[in-house]
Amino acid sequence: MLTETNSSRSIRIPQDLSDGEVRAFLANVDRVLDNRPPGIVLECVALEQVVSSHINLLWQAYLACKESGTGIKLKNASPGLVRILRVLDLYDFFIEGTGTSKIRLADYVPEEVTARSDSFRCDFPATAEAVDDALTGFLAFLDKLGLPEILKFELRTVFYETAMNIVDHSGLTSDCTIGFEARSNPMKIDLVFRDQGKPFDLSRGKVDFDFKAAARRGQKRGFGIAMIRRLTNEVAYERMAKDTNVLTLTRNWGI
Amino acid sequence: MEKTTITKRNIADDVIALCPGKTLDNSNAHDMVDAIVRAEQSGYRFIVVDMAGLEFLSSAGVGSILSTVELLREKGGDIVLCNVPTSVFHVLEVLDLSEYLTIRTTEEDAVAACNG
Repeated sequence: MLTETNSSRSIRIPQDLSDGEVRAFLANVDRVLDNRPPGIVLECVALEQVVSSHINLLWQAYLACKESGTGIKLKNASPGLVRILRVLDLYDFFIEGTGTSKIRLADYVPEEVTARSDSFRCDFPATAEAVDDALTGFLAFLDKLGLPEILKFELRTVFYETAMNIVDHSGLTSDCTIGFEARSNPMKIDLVFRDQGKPFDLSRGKVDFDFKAAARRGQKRGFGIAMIRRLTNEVAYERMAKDTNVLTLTRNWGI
Repeated sequence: MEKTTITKRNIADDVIALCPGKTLDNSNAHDMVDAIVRAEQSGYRFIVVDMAGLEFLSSAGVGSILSTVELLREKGGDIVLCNVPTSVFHVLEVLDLSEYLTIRTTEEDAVAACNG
């Protein structure tokens, strides 16, 4: 069984804990670390059932990375694995403790997503009420794609937060229009927003925004952009001709 | 989305339950902040936010909880979430809030948490 993914810095953790698999995994870690990458990703998608030996394996990989000054991050960690790491107080070592980015919602790839190629377009006035109507249409499109509920919830949140951000902060009046297009294929979905309001590069929002610190400060606003960043894999912003802002938010279905 | 009203239910001398209904978003997040602040000013130390039936939680909804929870905690109280739908819990987990916020499975568990 191959234990390495197609990325040279991403190593798959085997479900099978035979001596050969464990040796191959640890050898892969050493080989990747020999190239002094800034960080490595442990691909957990094969972990259907987590036992203590898997945790030991993760820990050995962590120690090897620590020794070489390399960050480590988990990908596709199931909620169950995350829970176990939290219970063991190990979660922060893999998520926050080594300087790599935190696991985002986008890292939890739902099982067996088989979305087909399809698209949805609508234009709507820059008002909160119109956002609600457009959202209804977008949700119907997501239903057609047959996505898992949790993924629909994520995309609904991304749509709502982005559209409301444009309505609230672009300076557009209710007679102005926001253009929206969703394009899905078997690999990903792109959500594209177009407007002619004030330029604003949402891609500058921090993925690692600290919500807990914000709570301690009593912060009331400014969570939307951070949520969008954590719920998407890529955010791209362009200022096009005729003062048009084009914001493209990408959510990958899988690896 | 249709604005849903925050409903209140007294549970004990210092515990009140607030239920946002189907959505907690820009349309009613301010009402939630108002309800929490008023409850705190009325002497409630613990606020149980019953999320049964919640279909959507926006950043404004998250903000309504985050901006007030320390107010309660400073006075020895807390905001306790219960009946949190899986998708909402998933988002709270990804925002690193599932352990910062006090979350219990049922209202009964939430009230027990308020009683220490």
